[in-house]
Amino acid sequence: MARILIVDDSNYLRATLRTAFEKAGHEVVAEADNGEDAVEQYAKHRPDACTMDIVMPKGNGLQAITQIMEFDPDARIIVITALGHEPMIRKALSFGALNFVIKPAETEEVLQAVDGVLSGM
Amino acid sequence: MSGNTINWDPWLDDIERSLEMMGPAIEVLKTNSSDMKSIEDMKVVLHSVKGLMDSVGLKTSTQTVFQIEENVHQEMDSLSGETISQLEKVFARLSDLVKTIQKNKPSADGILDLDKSSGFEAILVTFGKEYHIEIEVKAEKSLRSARALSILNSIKRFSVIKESTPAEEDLYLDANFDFLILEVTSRDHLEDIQKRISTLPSVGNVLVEEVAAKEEVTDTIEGLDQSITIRVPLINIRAVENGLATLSTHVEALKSEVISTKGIEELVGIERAFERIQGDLRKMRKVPLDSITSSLPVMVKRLSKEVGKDAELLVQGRFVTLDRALANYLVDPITQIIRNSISHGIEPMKDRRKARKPPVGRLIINASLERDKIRIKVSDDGKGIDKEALLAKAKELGINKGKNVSDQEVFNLIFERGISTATADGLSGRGVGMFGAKERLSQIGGSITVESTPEKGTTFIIEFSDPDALSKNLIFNINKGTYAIPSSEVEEIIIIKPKELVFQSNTKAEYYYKNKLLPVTVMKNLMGNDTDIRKDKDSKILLVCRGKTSLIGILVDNLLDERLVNIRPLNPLLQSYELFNGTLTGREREVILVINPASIK
Repeated sequence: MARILIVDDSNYLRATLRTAFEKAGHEVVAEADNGEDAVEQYAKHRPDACTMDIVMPKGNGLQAITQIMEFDPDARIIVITALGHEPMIRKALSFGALNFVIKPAETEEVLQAVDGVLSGM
Repeated sequence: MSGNTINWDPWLDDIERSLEMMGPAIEVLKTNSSDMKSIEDMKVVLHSVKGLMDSVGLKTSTQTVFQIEENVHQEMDSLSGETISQLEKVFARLSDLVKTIQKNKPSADGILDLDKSSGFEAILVTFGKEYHIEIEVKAEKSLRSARALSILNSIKRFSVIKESTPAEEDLYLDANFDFLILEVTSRDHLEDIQKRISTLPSVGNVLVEEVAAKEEVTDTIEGLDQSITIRVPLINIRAVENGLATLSTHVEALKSEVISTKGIEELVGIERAFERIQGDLRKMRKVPLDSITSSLPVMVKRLSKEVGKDAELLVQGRFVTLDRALANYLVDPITQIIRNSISHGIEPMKDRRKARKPPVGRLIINASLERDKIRIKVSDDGKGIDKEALLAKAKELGINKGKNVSDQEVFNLIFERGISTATADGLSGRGVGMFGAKERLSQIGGSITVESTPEKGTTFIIEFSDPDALSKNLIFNINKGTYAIPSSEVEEIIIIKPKELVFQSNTKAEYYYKNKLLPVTVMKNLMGNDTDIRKDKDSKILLVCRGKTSLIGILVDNLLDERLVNIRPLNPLLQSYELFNGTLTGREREVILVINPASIK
């Protein structure tokens, strides 16, 4: 079981992910729908893993990743974003995100990615 | 804990006291690396320094000191030059750290920066080993760079990446590549690194090899020495090796004659020097697998294009080293297998697409060391061996297999003379076929087997023993002479009375063993005696061995010993005696002939 933070501006996706994570036995410690809130929630909860959307209002995912990595270099961040954003994915990875999943993502794929970053360490 | 101040004064007092002890101890160790008092002092100092650093949150520094403390404990009564130089570095950094703290008296907030800038991390990294890593990145082209970055980030969590091809910056911009090639430093074991990387997403084949520590080139003469190669006939190296073996026999014998402690110490020193020279010589006559495979990827590309296909070759385990003489025997068989795979295994592109396989065929050479054996697997992801065609070809050659023939028996037909030589494309027909490959390998006591799955591919497995590996050997008497047999060839040792045997002649008999009649050879008589042992009341030793095709028994007089030794090839003068295939050195440094059970008829 891991403690997870979900960051996405889509209510639907957050709900889907929350259900999937909880079904898999993880605990969703918080959700955030924008970059600024993501950093705040991360600092507050220090989750084991964090899924991160990139294109969001108020401080996008990229900024959130840099800020999170700054105070937690061991953060395990998985980027979830749509196809067509490849350069942004590479940016995110260059900032220290560990893995990525392409939207529309099967929940299975996201779960695998989370398990991957949790076990690979 | 922001704004917290640390009471530095008592901390500095303690650290300074430790430094006062550490400095002189290092100086002593530099001249005498086994000075017990200094080593003990060092252990105490490191332990308290570690605790002090931990107490103020200097994380990396604590870890560094912890690691070096471990090393000191492991090396016990004599520290290595490396450890001593690490200690010196720690001492220097520690002195700097004290000065910085005395000047700034940083608050708890500044600790992290202090830890980072203390220079301890740089020392920590040097504890790691260098690895060369090749990773096949399996992802669509548009996402491959991103996948590679993801892999890099994960690897960074347990190692320091010193070089990456493509470079990380190029990956940010999107690079064109299939393999990610890295030079890293890590404190993890090779197997752990391999495992960790293999489980990362989008990772295909992974090769991890340790990079041998390179001596730093300090002056130009040494640099020159490293760049010049001289050719020496292999036989000269072997001659030196034999000379050394003789010398060490004399040293061993001297050990029981010398009484003074000093004398024995000197002898041990000589022995160690011998071992080092022997190791260096061994390295000289060994070549990495690379030396015979480096030209193959290009050959695979060229040959596959010639027959209108496309294939690539991946070589794994290139760090496995082979005796130069053995390596020569592998070139032809491996080339033959590759020709065979391209010609029969790999499908034309359109067939591969239909079968939902990647359009480019994949051949993999994988070498590994397994105890005393070297194993080289050559596999393809083609369509597998065509059983019908093979059976038909065999029939043409007059080899008839019955109806209930197993798949494996059919696959084994590929090694029959004349089977795999001629094909429509003429590619694999250029060599001597798989029969030739098998013959060639048998000259070095090697074997070749095949495994194949329809639509999945075929794997040829070459195995031969590593002549430098140590092996266990049973030592026994026959007619008062001493002989040996590799323990791996012996299935069971049975003590019997001669009357339990059914004799056909003075040399041949049979023994009822596990519900079967085991052919037994009376070694005594095979080796020149002609005694009738039927009347012999003494117990004898029956060694149940793996013969050429099935189990055989060899009857010897008595067992003496089992020794873990290196078997040397037979002196050329003795090579006409089929019964023996090597020699080893006994406890009294006498030369013992090693019997090859496969030669007993």
